[in-house]
Amino acid sequence: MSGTQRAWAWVAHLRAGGTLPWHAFEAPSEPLVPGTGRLPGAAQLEVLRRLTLVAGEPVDDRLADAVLAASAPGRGQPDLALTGVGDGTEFGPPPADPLLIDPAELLRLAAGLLGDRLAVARPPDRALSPRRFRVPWRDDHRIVGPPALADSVRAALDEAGHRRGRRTPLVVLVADSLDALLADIHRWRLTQGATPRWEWWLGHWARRNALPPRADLLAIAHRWADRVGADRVHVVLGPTPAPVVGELLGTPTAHASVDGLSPAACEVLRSVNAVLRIATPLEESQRLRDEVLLPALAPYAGRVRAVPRRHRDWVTARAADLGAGLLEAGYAVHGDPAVLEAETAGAAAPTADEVLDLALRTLLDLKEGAR
Amino acid sequence: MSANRVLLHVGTPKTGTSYLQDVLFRNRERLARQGILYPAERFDAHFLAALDLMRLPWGGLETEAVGAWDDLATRVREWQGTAIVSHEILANATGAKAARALTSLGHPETEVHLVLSVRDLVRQIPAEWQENVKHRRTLGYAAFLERIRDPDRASKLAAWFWGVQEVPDILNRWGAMLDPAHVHLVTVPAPGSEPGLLWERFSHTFGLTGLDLDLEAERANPSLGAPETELLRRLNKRVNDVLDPADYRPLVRELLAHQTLSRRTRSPRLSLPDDVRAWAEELSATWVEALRAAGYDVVGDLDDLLPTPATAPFSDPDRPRERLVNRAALDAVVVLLRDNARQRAELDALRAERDELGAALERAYLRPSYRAREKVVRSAERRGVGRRMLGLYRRLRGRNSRPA
Repeated sequence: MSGTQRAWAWVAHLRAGGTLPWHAFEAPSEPLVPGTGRLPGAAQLEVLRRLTLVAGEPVDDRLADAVLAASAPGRGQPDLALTGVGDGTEFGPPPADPLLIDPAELLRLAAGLLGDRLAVARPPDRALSPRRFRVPWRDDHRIVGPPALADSVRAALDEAGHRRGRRTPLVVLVADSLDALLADIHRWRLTQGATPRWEWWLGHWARRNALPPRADLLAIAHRWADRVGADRVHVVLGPTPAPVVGELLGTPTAHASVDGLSPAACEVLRSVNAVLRIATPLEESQRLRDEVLLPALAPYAGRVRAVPRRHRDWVTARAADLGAGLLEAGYAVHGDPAVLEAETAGAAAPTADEVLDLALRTLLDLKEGAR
Repeated sequence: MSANRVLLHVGTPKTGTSYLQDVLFRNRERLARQGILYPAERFDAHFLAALDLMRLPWGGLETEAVGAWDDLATRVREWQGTAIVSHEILANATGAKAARALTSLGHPETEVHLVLSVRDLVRQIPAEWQENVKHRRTLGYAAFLERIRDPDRASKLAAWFWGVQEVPDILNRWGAMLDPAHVHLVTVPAPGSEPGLLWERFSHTFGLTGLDLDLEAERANPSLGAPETELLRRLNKRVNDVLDPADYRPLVRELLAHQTLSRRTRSPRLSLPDDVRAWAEELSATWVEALRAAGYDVVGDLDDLLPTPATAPFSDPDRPRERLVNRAALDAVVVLLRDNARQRAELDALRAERDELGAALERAYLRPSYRAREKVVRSAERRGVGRRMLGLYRRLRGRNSRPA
């Protein structure tokens, strides 16, 4: 049996739900009907095999067709031929054993497939909630700070049944340690379509010796002080600011958990963002992210990423400056400013295999929901 | 099959493509009157279409490319006559993307001709390194050569280099669906050939011969010498963290590289060290043999792909004569200072204009009725109730009337 015949037999094996790797695959002895057209690439076949492993059952024909016909978006390896087949040309990249292809390359392919699925997805109809008419004199507080933490405080206040109005408006700046705050902001930026890696993003600000605008608590406090007066700006520091904020606003409030995507889910999101940037117009891609992709990734929550060791000193120094600056400016600071310098037990970088498996899981989940 | 024809030019980079595209873009209306469509509303329209087709990020430009390929293909399909599509990064498309592109352009009902302009590897390799440096890369020349010679092509750099430069493979990917007679190889003449010969070949291939066209180039991608390229590489190391892509392109790539450093034509040119040159010559011979056997239409001579003997000793850009780098740096400083002075003058003129407008506005504000209203607003802004009432008034009024 020729290499090409064996390759077509492996394609049929994978399409039927087989998961044997290429090197371990032995073609059946009965004559085969060769496939038509070009043989799918090694990466495409490996993605199909891994999809089947993740699904635990054969992948449906439409998805299998899409996988085998796809080319990975962006920069990286071109479509690679299967090793041991021989396509009659001495040119082009060397053929590859699918099992040895870098998982990052497989992720690129999976991200492209996810992007394609999202681009044709029809988000569920939004349930239209009656628009709340917010009268100006009922705006009694504004919670500002890192997105996930601020959201958790707002949710906790709502949960506690906080009634707006009837008191002097306050601006409450909430923050935890600076490293968690930075990771929270990076994670939030990914939900808005950004594509920089965590390490690159942090290094970018460290090299400039500047904090990203959303992490510059002092500048945020000054900005609000200019608008409402410094006496109305409160800074609540610590990992559980909700009870303190509730006390300030006169509503007993319980601690709320801060939820966010796991590092692996963030990596999937980041990879898909790169595809959506070019596959769909900006507003449309944000809608698809908000209404399809993020709900699909939401179950994969986890801790924020840890600050790499090489940036630790820089983060600590900036945190010390922030704490001193807030006290010096005379804002009402609740909590110990030293909390800004504390080292959060952040998560390590996910492995490429973890990210790939999650991307494939999401692809399977979207397959049903996106149609 | 329809009577329409598409000429699809997919590369390769550094073969006079910028000049060709500039001529086609500037003459697109004249061409249209003569039955030839070059569908572009902006100079980089086909570049954006290529980014879209290949889903390729490009320093943020990709967000302007959404749907660009399908728009381009639609215009081509709707045209009655000949249409030209040209961009060199298309060379890197995978077989699947190439098949999608050809189908979207109307193949097989429409006669699609593939055009690939090609130049010998001994000139292409240093030119590609230089392009890398002009795109913010900081990799030294020796490291670049080592990566592209890696047989596994494991790095992204090697994958891209061979994707856009390995002529037989590009033609395998793009030409698989086409009659070899509809695949046209335009060879870049050997060094020292008659100026204008390459344009004659392009002109012949694209059916432009005899047409009344403005051939004055406005855009080109000129080459740099070895010390100038090394200067740029060192500069990249310093500026990559502080200059955004939107600033890098006009300031470093255009002002410094293209408009300043490329004019230093007496410095040593980039070339290959002897061992790499021998390897490139051997590789070129295998390419020429394969291309001859394939039966493509050759405009020029396949022997143009066989490198000519070196005319100057190799000048290593990793170990340049520092005096030459310093001189290039001084030229760069002078140009930046002059540009800065020009911008200061522009700023002064704008400030004077602003002051004039401010004075006119002040005169208008001096009316008693305006001053009375202003007094009321300022007084209201000092009080909580007043601020809220003003806020409500502004919301009801429907636009922001807050002072700037």
